[in-house]
Amino acid sequence: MNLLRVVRYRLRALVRGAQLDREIEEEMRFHVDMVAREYEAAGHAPQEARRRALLDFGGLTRKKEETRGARGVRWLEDLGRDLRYGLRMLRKSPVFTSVAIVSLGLGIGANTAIFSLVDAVLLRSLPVPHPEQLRVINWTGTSSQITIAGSYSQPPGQRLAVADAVSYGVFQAMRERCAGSAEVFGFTRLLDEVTAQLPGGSFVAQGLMVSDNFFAGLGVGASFGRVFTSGDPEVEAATWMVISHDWWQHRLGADPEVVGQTVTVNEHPLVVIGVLPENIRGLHSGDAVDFYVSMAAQPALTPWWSRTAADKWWIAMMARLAPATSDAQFAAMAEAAFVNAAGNIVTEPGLLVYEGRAGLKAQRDSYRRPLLILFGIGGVMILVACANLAGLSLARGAAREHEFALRPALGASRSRLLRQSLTESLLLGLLGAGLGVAVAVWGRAALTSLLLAPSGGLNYDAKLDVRVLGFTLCLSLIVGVLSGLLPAVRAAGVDPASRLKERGAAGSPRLGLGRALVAGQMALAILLLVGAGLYGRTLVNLVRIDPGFEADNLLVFRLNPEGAGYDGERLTAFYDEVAQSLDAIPGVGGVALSRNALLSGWMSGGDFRFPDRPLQGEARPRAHWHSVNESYFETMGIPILLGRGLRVTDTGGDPKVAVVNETFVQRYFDGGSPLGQRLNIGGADRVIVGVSRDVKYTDIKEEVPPTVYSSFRQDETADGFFAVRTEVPPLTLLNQARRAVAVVDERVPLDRVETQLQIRDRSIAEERLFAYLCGALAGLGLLLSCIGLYGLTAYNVTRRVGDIGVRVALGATRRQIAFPILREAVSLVAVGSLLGLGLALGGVQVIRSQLYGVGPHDPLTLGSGTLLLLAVALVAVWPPVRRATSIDPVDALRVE
Amino acid sequence: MHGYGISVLIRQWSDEMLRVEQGSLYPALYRLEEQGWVHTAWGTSENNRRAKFYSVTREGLEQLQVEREQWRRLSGGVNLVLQEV
Repeated sequence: MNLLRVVRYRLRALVRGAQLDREIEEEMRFHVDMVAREYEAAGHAPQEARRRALLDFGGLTRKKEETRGARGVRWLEDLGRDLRYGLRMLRKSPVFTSVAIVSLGLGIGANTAIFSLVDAVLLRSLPVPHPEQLRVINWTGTSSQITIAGSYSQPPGQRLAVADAVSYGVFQAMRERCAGSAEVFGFTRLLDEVTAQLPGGSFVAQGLMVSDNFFAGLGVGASFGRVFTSGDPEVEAATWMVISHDWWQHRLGADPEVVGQTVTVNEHPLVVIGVLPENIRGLHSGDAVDFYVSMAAQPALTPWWSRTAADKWWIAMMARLAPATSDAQFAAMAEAAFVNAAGNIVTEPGLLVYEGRAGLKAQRDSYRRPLLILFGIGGVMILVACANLAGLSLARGAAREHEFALRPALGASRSRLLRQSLTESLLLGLLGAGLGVAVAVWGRAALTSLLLAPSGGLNYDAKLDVRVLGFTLCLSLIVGVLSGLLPAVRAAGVDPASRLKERGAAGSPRLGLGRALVAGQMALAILLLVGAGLYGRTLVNLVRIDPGFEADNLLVFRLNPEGAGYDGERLTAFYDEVAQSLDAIPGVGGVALSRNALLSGWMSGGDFRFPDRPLQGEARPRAHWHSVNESYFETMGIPILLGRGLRVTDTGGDPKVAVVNETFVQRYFDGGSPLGQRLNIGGADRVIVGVSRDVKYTDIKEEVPPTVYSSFRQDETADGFFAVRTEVPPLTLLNQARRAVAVVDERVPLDRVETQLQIRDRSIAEERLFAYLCGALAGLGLLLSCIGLYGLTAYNVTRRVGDIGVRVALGATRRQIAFPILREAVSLVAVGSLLGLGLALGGVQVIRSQLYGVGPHDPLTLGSGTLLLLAVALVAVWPPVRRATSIDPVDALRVE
Repeated sequence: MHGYGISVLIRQWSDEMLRVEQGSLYPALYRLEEQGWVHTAWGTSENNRRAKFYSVTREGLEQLQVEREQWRRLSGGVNLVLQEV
């Protein structure tokens, strides 16, 4: 059958429906007229002839309907009619409609925004051909002979460590062994270690150093120019770079003649040979690699390590399996190669091969849990919205009971009624989705900036594409069916005879369902309230933590003079000059320099020992170690409690000095004076000259660690963070700070510019997001469930008006009228709360690890959540109760 | 041929045996039209009234062969069974 023709036919039937209806009628009238003429010819009177003709025909109207049905667009016409009817009904009850659309819109919007994040971070594949062929390779084992530049972790309870990087030799051995079955390619990140000098100035850039088969293995070509390939001559390849589309656009002015231009990286000239396609941004969904260099360039770019040293493990690996290679074959082959190449340096060597469809998984892993919890919270929220809408529709259905009873009596079929009801709720779902998309556009930006952006350096692209909008559409349909099915079945199940007869009978079964829905909403609202309470208290606890130093009014940024060729004495001199230059800015009250920024998540640490005395208890005592300048303590507002701070004169090697914190003294000197004692950390003996107050170092949430401060003049510091104490809002001095650094050397760019408060807020970004989001959703859930309770109670009062009127007439007091209504409402809230508390007690285990300073079963939170719900619920039932108590028996009975 | 004419023909050809409700003809005709087996056009009837004329298309004739063959087999089968009894 020709589909096109059928479509055309049906389209015509649909568009020109009215004209076709006329044609059918004309055709049939012609037929009847002809038959009537036959009868007349046979001798019947005209009227009788016409009657017989109509009888023969079998009912003009019915046949017309049948014929229209035969046009094949009946269902579409019905749908159109249902939609028009639905819209009319929705317009008739604007309050119901707007409550429904807003609640669904917010629910759908929140879920769409969350899903767009889940999709961008967790689900999306790398934009390369056949991403399912990609694998990520890690290894397990133990070794004390190697240094690893890459991820290294000891999973809790496991004996063996998991790491991603191998040495150059091991990589080459594995690559050769697997050749033909899989392309094993290697790469390493140049983390903050490179500065690129470009026409617009100097920039810290994210580089990836890759093996020559990297692009072939990944399956990526240049959008113009070329990429590295196997067999490139080493000497030339060492001077080449491939750049990302983004970098080309933003840093190189989208110059079409970029291929062949020179870019200086760490004082080393490199020639651009190609630009990658726009969608290739690195090795995982949030990656933002600016440029790629060959491993041939390693000796020139990062001369502080040797490329081929057997104990320097720095190459992470991925592989692309050939279509014929199975996972088992590849794992066996690669593991054999690894054991063979690394068996002499790693004990118990083994390989882990992960699916690599979406690239590297470390970032995905760290976001999986918060995102899935977010997704769960969103799901609870949308359930509340569904239950609310279902409850409201039920109540409305009850109000329209007469209509539903009348329609089947007039000949509508059950399925037709069901469809009508579902059409209405689906319509609401779709309208909600429309609003939801608008909410999501805003919410996605907010979520991205709250959760992802603070992590720094990540570049997630959460967009509302076809996948996400498809999700929204599915969600709205599910929501429409979920919230519409119960009322629809109820409506279609109305028995016309009994319903039309007994109006206003109390105790209809419909109310039982309505009660269950309201109790369910209460339960979910409690769940959200408890979550919001716990996250809120966590956030308050975190913000209240005293970090031990004055975090206000500090401008923090990083400098990496090594990228401009500084080392040794010149490095120290550079830092001194910059500090002086910064200090000279009006409004600056001190300049601190340190190896790490406080509360940034970074730390330096080291094993230590006391040369003069043994240390009992700990086998390998470790302390946080912080290399700082002499004005550090004063600038940061950290008091020296005993002895002295560091001095400009603390130079050279003999003796090196150290300041330790209170925790260190308590733990290792039993609170006695450590002054003059010798301490060995970082391989050098130091004399303890002072004790400083405790300060949070890595993270606002941690216990203050034993900390040792040393002078940057006695320990060479490659890169460092400046913290500038300002008397005005810190960022207003940023341009002056830039100029102050440029005066010393314009090739050293300011990197990671932030205020100290921003750094602190970043470390609690996730908690903040959860507190805000959960709070907003809980408020919404509370509002919705109380609207539900209000609707149910109001309806309840309406249908009992007659009842109440009789009782008032018989002498019932106001209290006697109000009590049963209140009792029902409170019992609903009680049942819902108990259910919700049960859910909450079980559910909070999931978020236990995200809480700070509050237990998951915090009685205060649970109790106040329940009380809040009860209070709001009482407000919600107040208007209907008032109405019930002010019913005038005469009016009530007259209505009946 | 218009719908009325078709109903008259059916009546005559079947020796008045097939006298279905005449109105049921029209849904059937519309279904045939949707399938593309008949073609329709408006014209003037023998008594000068506007009427809708149906004609069989080539696809319709082919389908007729198929249906006729099916009917032959079906009725043949039924006849055989009835003869046995």
